[in-house]
Amino acid sequence: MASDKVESVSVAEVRRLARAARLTLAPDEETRLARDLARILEAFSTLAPAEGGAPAPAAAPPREDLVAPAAPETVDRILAMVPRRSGRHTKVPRRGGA
Amino acid sequence: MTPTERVEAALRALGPAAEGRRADPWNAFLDVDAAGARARAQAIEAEGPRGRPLHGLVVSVKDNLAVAGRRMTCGSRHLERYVAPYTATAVRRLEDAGAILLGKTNLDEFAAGSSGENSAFGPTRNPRDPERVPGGSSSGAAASVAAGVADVALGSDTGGSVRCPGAFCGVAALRPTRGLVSRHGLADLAMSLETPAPLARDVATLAAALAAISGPDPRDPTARRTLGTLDLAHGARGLRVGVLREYFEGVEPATERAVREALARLENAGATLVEVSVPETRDSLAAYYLVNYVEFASAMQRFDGFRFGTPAAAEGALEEAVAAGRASFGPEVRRRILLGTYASEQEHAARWYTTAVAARGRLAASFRRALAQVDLLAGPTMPFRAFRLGEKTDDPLAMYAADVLTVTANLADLPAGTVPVRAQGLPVGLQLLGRGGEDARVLEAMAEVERLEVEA
Repeated sequence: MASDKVESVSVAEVRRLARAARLTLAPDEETRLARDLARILEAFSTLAPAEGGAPAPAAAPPREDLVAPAAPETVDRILAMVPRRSGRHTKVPRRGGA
Repeated sequence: MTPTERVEAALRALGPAAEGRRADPWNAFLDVDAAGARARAQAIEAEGPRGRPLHGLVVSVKDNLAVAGRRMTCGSRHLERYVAPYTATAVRRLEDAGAILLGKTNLDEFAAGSSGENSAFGPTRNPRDPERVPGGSSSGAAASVAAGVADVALGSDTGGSVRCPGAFCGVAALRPTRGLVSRHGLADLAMSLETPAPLARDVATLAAALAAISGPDPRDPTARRTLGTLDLAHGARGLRVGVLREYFEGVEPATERAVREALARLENAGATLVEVSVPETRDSLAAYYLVNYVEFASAMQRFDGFRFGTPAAAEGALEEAVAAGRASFGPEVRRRILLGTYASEQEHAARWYTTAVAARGRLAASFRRALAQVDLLAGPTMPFRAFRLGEKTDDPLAMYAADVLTVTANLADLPAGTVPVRAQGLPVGLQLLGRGGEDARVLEAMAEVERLEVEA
């Protein structure tokens, strides 16, 4: 199914996306990527939308996101997989110049 | 050959690269551990085979899989100095089975590529024609086997990343059902699509490698499957093979001819061929890339110079330091991150990401229906043979189009293998897809195709 809408992505939008994605782009790269993104989205706009819009939500609502203590045996099992540890703390290589 | 003789032959083929002095002739390896391989060969030679199925075989490992104490770059400057603190389960299992790890292989940066040209450490060349690409993203893996350096290569497959280079380089490769091979130690960047995957010099060696690395792993709770019984002498008799109509649309004539001739030989050997149509295949490329972009952009957030990657020297706000540290990402990685960010934003997700996920569901259901009628599905692995280096690098859509026949297996989570078939000039791969979890059936059919091709 072909789309009748030509996708357009502006340089300003690429700049905004790059900020959100924590990327630094050179001005010529912003222009090139705006062109690439529009062209790629245009090609992929042939994808038929899901019938009735977005997929229906699951029959049961997701459980409430509650913080609860982990079972001690779970913690021990996870700690057993840590390559290097000190007691109940993981040891990692020093990072940066400090 | 003894294990030591195998290792010495591999090192001779690599030339000065064996001593780390410069790149090998194909730029297949990023790191060669000659001393470690020699020591390991001597050790296992002294111990004897002890029933180990991969005794003395030389293996290479894609550089997005961890090997303790060795660099793990993912083909990116961003991880140039990263040393893995542990060994991936699949690598450890290869060694437990008697294999000798020779080194880490080149790949498209963060496995984002289809040609092997996106590595920050330079493109890999196809040993069958060095002016052509080897395919990606497991470019060095396939080249290491095709060049006769490695017997087995461990790669990973996100959308065809072992099958594409397997077909282009003329080696056997299999994308397993997810959950058959542990992803522990894999720098996984598209978690619903990607799995470690083997390549090998022939199907029997491929099957032995897969058997060695498969099975449940407490370090990866998604790894719960087992390979089951495997009979590589099963033959073609009684096998019902669905020939995918859409897989021949737009395929170059030489590839179509080679694949159809191989299928005819399979039919003569006792298989029943039936034409099967899965029209949803035409949506697969768009669905695959949109899902991939979103997962990739999310996964790439951890490469911020703090959790992983090169810390930025820039002073100033944290966000600026992170962006400066990510400046080394190559063009395709940046393109995918931006597209994934765009497609998953609240105002765009319904049109792009949700649509892609729904299309993926329809595609998977159609393939399940098709596989209810036949034992396996078949078609070409790639729509064309290996193209020239640089031929598609300026056109991302042309590059993506190379994946059109491989991404369906990842979207529908089907085991899919490629096996070389007789062709004039450059290699051509026949692709076989099986029902989820029936990896052994795919290997058995691949073995029969290989036998028939050798005898033809």
